[in-house]
Amino acid sequence: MTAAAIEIADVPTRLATPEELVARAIEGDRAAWETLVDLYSGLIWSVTRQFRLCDADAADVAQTAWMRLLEHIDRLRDASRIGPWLATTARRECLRTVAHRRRVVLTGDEGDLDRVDHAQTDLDASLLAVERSQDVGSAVAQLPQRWRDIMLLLTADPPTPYEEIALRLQVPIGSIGPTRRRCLRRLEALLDR
Amino acid sequence: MAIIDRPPEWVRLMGLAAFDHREPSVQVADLDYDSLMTQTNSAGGERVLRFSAGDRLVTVRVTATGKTVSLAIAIVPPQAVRADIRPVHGPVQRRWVGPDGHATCDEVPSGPLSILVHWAAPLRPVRTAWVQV
Repeated sequence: MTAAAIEIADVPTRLATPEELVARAIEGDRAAWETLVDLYSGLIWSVTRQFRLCDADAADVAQTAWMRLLEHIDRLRDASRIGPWLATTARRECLRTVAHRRRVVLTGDEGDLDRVDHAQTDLDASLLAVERSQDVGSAVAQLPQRWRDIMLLLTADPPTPYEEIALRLQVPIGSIGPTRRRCLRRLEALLDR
Repeated sequence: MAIIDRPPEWVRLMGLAAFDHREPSVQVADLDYDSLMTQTNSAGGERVLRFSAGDRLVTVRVTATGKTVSLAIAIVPPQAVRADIRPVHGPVQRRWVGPDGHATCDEVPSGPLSILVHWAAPLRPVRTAWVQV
């Protein structure tokens, strides 16, 4: 097998939806769990930042939130809402930590945490960003396999040069630009539904 | 639209490590009540946590003692069984619950914690949801 062929085999072939990842994690699929961790680490971190926790407290909140997700993952009513669920859980753990540090007056009911809190606009915007990202992920999952491969490489950080994409996917370099345009049009249509 | 900060690597590593705590065969007792979230926050008070899994209840009274906490555990139905106190920041501490359903455990490191109660058959072992103490 050539080096180029080995690299092609390493290209992720499919973007799983959060629902699929949750279902696989419930079955004990560590790779699916790791993908969930990659997707939502930023969200948990963002929540702890909102509460200005020290690193040690933020670490305890993060660890508890992950553990809670793991023990609750087979009971999520809507797996596609895993982001908001995790954010709410992290916020509750932050409140416990802050209460423990005796810095705030506590809410009387955990249900209060689900109501609109205008001081949390940044967090809500972050959640919207996550949900939007999930929508994009679901739309990308509906593209033809070859298009998805090309988009994965084009949206890598840093973006993969056309020459390398042509080599790795064994496609004419002149087809990459037009394919990219068709992908974006299709994604736009899917996201507008 | 706000940008989510890139998290430190330890957030991710903690998520990955959590998978090692997966216990699909053990029933989880959910946290139903935490006095910390309902009381006026007076300093030095005892904190009460109540967990339930069906008709099995675990009540934990937590008293802060500096960097550690003391736990008074009560289980319903009462049984003389083993309870494993499992703090993230320290070793597992095994305690025997008396026939009256009570046990205590001192010098438990603060931080996330779960308690595994080995109810005897026909009941199944139950562990409490993870909670910070």
